[in-house]
Amino acid sequence: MNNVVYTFPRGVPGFEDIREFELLTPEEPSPFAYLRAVGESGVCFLVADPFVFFPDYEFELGDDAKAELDLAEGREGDVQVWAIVTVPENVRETTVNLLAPVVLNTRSRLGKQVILHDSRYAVKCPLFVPRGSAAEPIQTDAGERASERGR
Amino acid sequence: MLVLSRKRNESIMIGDEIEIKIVAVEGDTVRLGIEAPRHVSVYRKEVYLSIQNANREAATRSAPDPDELARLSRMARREESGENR
Repeated sequence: MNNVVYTFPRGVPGFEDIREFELLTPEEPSPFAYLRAVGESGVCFLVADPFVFFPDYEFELGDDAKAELDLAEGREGDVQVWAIVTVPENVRETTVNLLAPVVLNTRSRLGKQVILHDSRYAVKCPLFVPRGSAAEPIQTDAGERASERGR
Repeated sequence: MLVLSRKRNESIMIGDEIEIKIVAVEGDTVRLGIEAPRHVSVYRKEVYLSIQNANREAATRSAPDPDELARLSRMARREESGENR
């Protein structure tokens, strides 16, 4: 995996003392990556590219986040966005946190988990479209299903 | 904890840069106006706590897990091709 170290000046909620995370991206193209704490803490998040799973996902960065990420006006191209994934025992029930995306400034190598004030998005959005078990496939119109997701 | 009484339109200052003003009081709901420097993040506490909890719950591994990655990538590909639906 390729790795790039990012500094999170305030850590992330729940792990406020961890200031450095490395973004580990698989060699082959993938909508997933890992965000592992540098050091001995043993903290490692699976993250997903939210725009792959939720093409309409959007938010505006507040001034506080822009300042913390040292993001100047017009430098939006330096931004990478990831959403933290929670993988429960039943993998089908995997969720992503769209309310608090991880925003990286690839130029300054700064990161922040931004808490959106926009309540359209939840802390636990299902990553995969809900469906029945493999034993009972549900016959549903694909378009209708797709439009149900994560709104 | 310092406890102060305030009326509508009165404020408190935290340091010399943060002002919290009582905008309205309706029943048991108090509306606050907050003025703070741009580098200060302001959020509802329960939102912050829910994100703390979600992060702790999400940090289930100590290193990348190739099996997990392969499995979820497969599911994502199937999702994209509509096979799951």
